Parts: sequence; C-alpha cells; structure tokens
Amino acid sequence: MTLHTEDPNLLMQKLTILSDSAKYDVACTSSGISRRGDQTHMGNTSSGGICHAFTSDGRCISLLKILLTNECIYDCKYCINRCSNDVPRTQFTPEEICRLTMEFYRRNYIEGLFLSSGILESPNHTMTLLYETLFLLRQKYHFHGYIHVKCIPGASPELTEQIGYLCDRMSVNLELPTADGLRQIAPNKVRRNILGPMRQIQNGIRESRLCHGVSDTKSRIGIDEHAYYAQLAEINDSYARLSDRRKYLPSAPAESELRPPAAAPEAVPGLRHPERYFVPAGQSTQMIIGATPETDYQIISVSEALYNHFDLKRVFYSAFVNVNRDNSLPDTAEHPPLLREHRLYQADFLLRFYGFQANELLSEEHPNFHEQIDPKCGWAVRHLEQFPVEINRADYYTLLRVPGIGTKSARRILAARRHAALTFSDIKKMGVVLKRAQYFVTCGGRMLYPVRIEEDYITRHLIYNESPARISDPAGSSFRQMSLFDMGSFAV
Amino acid sequence: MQEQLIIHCEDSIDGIYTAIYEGFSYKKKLEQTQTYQDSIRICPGYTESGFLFAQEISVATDQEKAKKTVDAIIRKLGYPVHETLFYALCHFDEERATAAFGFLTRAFPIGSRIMEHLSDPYVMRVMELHRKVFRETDKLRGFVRFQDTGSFLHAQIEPKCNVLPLLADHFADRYPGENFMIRDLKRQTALLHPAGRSCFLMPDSLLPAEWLEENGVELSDPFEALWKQYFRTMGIEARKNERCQRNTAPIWYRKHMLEFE
Repeated sequence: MTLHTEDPNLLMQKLTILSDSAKYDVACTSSGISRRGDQTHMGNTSSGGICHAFTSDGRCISLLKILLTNECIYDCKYCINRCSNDVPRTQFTPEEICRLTMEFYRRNYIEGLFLSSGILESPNHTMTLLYETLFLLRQKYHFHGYIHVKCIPGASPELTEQIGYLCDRMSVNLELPTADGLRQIAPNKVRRNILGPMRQIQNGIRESRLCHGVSDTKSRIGIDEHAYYAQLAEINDSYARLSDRRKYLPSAPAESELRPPAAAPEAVPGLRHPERYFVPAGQSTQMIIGATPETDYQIISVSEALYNHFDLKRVFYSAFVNVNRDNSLPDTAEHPPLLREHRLYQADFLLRFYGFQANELLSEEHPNFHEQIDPKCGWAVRHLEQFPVEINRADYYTLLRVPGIGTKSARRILAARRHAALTFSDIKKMGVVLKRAQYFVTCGGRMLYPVRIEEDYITRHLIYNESPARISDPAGSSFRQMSLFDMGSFAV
Repeated sequence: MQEQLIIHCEDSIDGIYTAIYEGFSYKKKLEQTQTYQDSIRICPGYTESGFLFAQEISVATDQEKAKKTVDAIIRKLGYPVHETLFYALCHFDEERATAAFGFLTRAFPIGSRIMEHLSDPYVMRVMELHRKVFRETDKLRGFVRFQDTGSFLHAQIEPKCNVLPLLADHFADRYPGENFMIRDLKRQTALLHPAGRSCFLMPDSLLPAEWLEENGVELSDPFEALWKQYFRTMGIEARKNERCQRNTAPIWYRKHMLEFE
C-alpha cells in the first residue's frame, strides 16, 4: 500500500493539475462494450456503462479522466492549457498513470481510464507516450477494464492503428461545428487533420467488426472474450520476442525507430490483424457550444452527418466556459449555455433513437430550439395534423414521435397491446409521461381529457404544466397565461 | 369468496421458493373441487398476519423443494423470466412473495412471453419490483467503495433491497484475484470472495470479530486522499448544480462513500 519510490505529495499535485485541466472534456461514459473478466486478472466492462460518482455539477464520474501532460505547443483560445497561459505545468509518467488506474479500480472508484493529453513536442511524440501508457496498463498490469483514449490529430496513422487495438473507445475532438469556427479560435488545428483519423478509425472498426461477423457498426457488442484474451496474449508474446531480439542487438534501438516518420503514407486497410478487436466500443467526438456563432440547426446537421457518414457512437456537446476570460470570445465564465447544451442532447437522442432528421426538427427559418419546451414537443406542436395517435394501433416509429413516450415505453406498449386493449392507467404504469403525452394520444379512441388540438393552447399547457382537468377553459381563450408583470394597463 | 391460505416461511430466497412450491401443491388440491381465485398469500419472516378468517401454515426451508421450483421456472419460462423474478424477490416489500406467486400462477399456462402481459396487475407488480431492485443494484455496482485493510478489501453498504446475491457475480468477475468482503449492515450478512474462488454469503454472526470492527483502525491509504482530491477537482464551479447531483447520487447512498464525507 505504499507508493514505492514516488512522493505522495508530488503525485497529489500532479493529479490535481492534470485532472483539473482534463475536466472540461465532457465524455465520461464507459459504455458500448460488454466483456467478462478473464478469471485471473483485474477488470471487466459492462455494455451500459457504470457511473461511480457524481460531481457537484451533477455529471457522472465513470472513468479516471486525466491528461498525460498539460504542456501544449498549441494556442487554442478556449483551452485552459494553451501555450500562452501561465499555469503550472506537469507531466505523469506512464507508470504513475498505471498505478493510479489500478489502485482506483481496485477500490471500485472508477470503471477505467480516460486518457488525453496536451501536445508535447509533436503530435507523434505525444501519441507515442499515450501508446506506451496503454501498453503498460494492458500488458504489464493486465488491466481489462475500460480505456477511452483521445486520438491526437496530426499523429501518424500507424500509431492510431496500434492504439486502437489497446483501447475500448477512441475519440477525435471536432472542437467546433464548422471549419470557420475552428480557424478563428484554434489557429493550430486543421479540420482535415481531425476528419482524417476519424475516417481511419471508422474503417478500422468496420473491418474489425466484419471479421467477427458483425456488420452493424454502432451497436453495443459483447465481444468474444476468448478471442480478446488470445489477442492480448499474442501481443505480449510478440513483445517478449522483440525484447529477446533486442538483447542480441549491438546497441539499443534508436528512439526514432519507435517513432514513425511524420509524413507516413495513409494506412492501407489490410489483413494484418483480422482476428483483433479494433476500438470495440466505437468512437465519439465533442463540440464546444456557444463559443462561435453557429445556430442549433447547423450544429445538429453536423452531428447528423457525423452519425451517418462517420458511424460515430456519440457526439458530445460542451457548453462553453470562458476559462481564459478571452475578450474575443463570449463571456460565459459565470453562465455557460447549459440549457442550450441540454436541448442539443435531447435533439441528439431524437436523431439517434427516434428516427428524426435534423431538418425535421429545425430549419433555416427556425434555426434554434425553443427555450421552454423540449425539441420533441416543439416538433409535435408544429405537426398537429399527425395527432392524436391511437395507442392501440399506431406503429413503433409513430409512437416514438409522441412526446412523453420513449423507446422503452413504446416497446412495452407494442408487447402489451397484443394481449389486451390498453387504457391510460396501463400506459402510465408502463412509463409513459402523461403530463406531455395526454395532448397527443388516444386510448380506445378517447383522449384523457377533452383538449383542443391547437398549437397555441397546447404549447401554453406544456410550458406552464397545467392539467386540462384542473383549469376551466372558457371557450375561445387562446390567450397566453397572464403574469403579474404583464399588467401594463394597470400600471400607475 | 374462497378461504385465504397464508403460508409463512423463512425470510430468504430459498424460503420463499419453498413456500411457492407448497403453494402450488395446495392450489392443485383446491382445483379438484373449485376454480382458484388468488387466495394464497405468502408472508416471509414468520410475522403475525393479523388476518382473522384465514388458514395459516408455516413451512420450513427445504433446499430440495426450492431447487425444484427454480428448475420449473427456468424450464417452463426461460432464464430471463427467472432472472426478473429473482430480482423481484430481492425487494423489501412484504407482499413480494405473494406477487411472485400470483405471477407464477398466470405465467405457467402462458410460458416465456408472460412479461408481455403488462396490463395484468400481478405481472405489472413483478415488473415494478424488478425495476426498483435493478436500479438499486445498478447504482450500487458503482457506489460500493472498498477499503484496503492490508489483507483484504472491505466494503460496507446499507441497501434498501437485498442486493448482495445480485452483486456477487459482478464483483467476482471484476476482481478474481482479490480477497474481498461486502457487508450488508441492514441484513447483517456478508458476501465473501476468497481470491481465485467463488463467492458465498455468510451471516455476520459467523464472521471473526475483528473483521466486523467499524474501520476503527487508522488506515492511511494514500489513494483515498488522492481519490477525494480527484473528486473535488472534477466539479466545474460554473456548472454547479447540487439538485442534479442529489437526483443522480441520492443522499442515502452517500453514507458509505468516502468522497462525500
């Protein structure tokens, strides 16, 4: 239980600095892959992910989210680690990261490691350090928990490929929704360098999944543990042979051998490791919201393209916090656009699970989400011609479009109505939120309360959350709810 | 109105399975003369029922009968239904066994698709119980905190539901090479896992006294301090939202989590 040669105070300082600078990365999920343990070494993963703690801002801690180093040669305006900032800089050694991960994991504090890094010297050098860390963690410490690693844009494709075989999830940050935004505030980053690795990872995943008989590129997979552990044993074995060979070499191999040339050719997908799992939990990315003037419509269109053309598992949105108090960016240090971020996540789920398209939810004329009602209700009140929907007859995707019905309750409805006609109290117990659904559904041809199918009326009720049963609604009152401050005519 | 039969049994999973077995043999007898009308209740824990006009019997836990019940459930209804029912029986609700019995009387004639009959109150009740227990188990898989005592890993929990049997597989699979113990302080039971072997449950009374001490020994584990520091650092001040935190990590779970001390 000692830290051996390291000084605990030093480790504490490093952890404080390097977790503090990693916390603005949003993704902390440990999902996407189910893998049982190997009966001897530590670790397994669960397809739904496991949350281990929740911070004071309500976000989940699932992984040990740290940077390898907060040194950085880039100068991105939004980032706390930009080279022009005067902050204490430090760096973990790969061994330190491994020990922290193992000891935290043993005490059930975390699900695994989320490793990212500032750019030290060059993208390739940084990526080599990341690789070294993951290699140690998997091969020396035999850690079989979850590993999420950031892919550094601009690193060579060979490194990306090698890391892909050691981690569960990889992500390349898109940073900003449009190339224009990126040029403005992250002058050292190029969009092409971000999309390139994204495409490479996509192809790698597709190919590796096909080799295991899975044609779907996004679903959670329960991997064949036997193949996975055989693969790690094989990597280990080849490493042992490599060090054996080195013993007989006249001198230690120059470090440059470890580092592939910067201008490496595009990795050609081949049959090199058909049996291995490449990034089994899929890839994700994140965008900063509110630093540049993009509209919600632009943002979700970008997300849609990423889901459709890059097979991404998740796109994360991060409300911009102006940590550097940079004058050229909006001042959101006190009030980051959290509601906007929330609406985007809601829309994101509609894209991924509910069969919506970006251009159904928003349009050029109507480019931003309503502040007070969620995107699904917003869509529904603008498409009242499609409602009400009959619970006992409507098909799956029609049910999914009803506000208050989610994927689980829709599936329960499908199963249950085969055996009995459903009533409002039945569907309520199945998890349907009647507060929202009541305006849009009928059970056996009847609505829960008599409501008028009228955009203004329903919007008002959704916002003020009044039950139609409780308020008496004099005919023809399509007025908005009155508030004390509206009474201008009575003002003195 | 049929005369009620109340079966008292031991407050354990096997006790309830035994009672279900007895319930079915009684029901079979009853059905020779009349149709069955949900007149059997099962009360775990041998408590007074307080029913005036009811026949009451007590059954002793019988591993043989319990096993037969489980086998019949798996054979006729399939493993997923067995799992759902097992979770439901881990709930603390007094009526869980009665709900399970009513559920089974409906399930056996229908088979593995019984979970689709959600408009039936018994099926719905079992599903609700399962959901509640599943949620708590799911939270606890993340919220259990182990302390390194030098010789084994020690965790304490005070769950509402009886989650130890449900956590066993997850932790044994995760830490195959560790000696660990998770204690349920409410039910005074412990889940023990010797390194390299399988888990078992044991009442506190059979454990060595020094294992039960309220972590009185001053343990200076540097990783506990590191974890607390990490937890503090991760919160973003500008996004602070304690209400959201209370929703995701309800206060009652926090009692045994070091980062909330």
